[in-house]
Amino acid sequence: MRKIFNYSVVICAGLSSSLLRAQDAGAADAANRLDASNRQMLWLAFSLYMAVLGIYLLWSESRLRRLEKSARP
Amino acid sequence: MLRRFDRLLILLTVLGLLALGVLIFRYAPQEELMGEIQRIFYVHASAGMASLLLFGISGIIAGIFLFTRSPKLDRAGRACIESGFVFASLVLVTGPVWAKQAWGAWWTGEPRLTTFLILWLIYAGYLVFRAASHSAREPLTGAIIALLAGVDLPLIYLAPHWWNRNHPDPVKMEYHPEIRHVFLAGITVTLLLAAAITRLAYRRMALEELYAKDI
Repeated sequence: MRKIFNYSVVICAGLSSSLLRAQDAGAADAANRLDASNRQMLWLAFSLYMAVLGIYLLWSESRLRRLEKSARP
Repeated sequence: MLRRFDRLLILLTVLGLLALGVLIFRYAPQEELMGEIQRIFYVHASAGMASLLLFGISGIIAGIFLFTRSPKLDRAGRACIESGFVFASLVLVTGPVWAKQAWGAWWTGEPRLTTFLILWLIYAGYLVFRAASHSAREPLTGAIIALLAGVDLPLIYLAPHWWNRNHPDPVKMEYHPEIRHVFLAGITVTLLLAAAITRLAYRRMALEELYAKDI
């Protein structure tokens, strides 16, 4: 279950990126869409968010695994 | 093995995160003044709220711990601080990206930014202390640090009112209905995530106390 939790963060990051790229594709023919700089920065912010969360969860997961391993007789 | 409640919580969090991603990028309208960059707000503001809530709870727990000296309370306080620190870090990585677009600078000496960075540094110090210390008085010292650190929490709220500020006003929920819906969804999912992270941290800390801390 914890693995699902961790992998889901990666999936969410991928989903966010693909949704943003889908918007990028639509932006080419829509003059009122935001400028490229804003989109890139938005992508950067969500990537950083997922990266921080992912690093913490992977660290926590590996520490928990080591503890469970040492707990076994 | 995880308990049934933990499994349910993790499942709800995962589904919530997926739904929130779709809501932020598909349902929420583009904000007129700031444009697309405003979408950061859904995760930035809710992460800020979650971190302040968790730090506040840890302060209350630390206060009770001083009277009871219960190891479970010490562990719960530590778990809240670790989880709060993760959300505070999320605030500090997403905020500058918004600031760069809105203010033209990654970081300024704005009061809320400064007080929040001080808060992050205090709790970083707390976590380093708890990880490094092997003293029998470690839980007591930790509780005192957590209580003192709590003093910075109201400062974060009050700082923009006391000094000149650029940071957007506190959330008043007077937004376009769709923006409000997504923001409320963001808060809900972030709180679910906070609960899941805190429970996993608590469980890990229980194992750390049973087995070697330095593994």
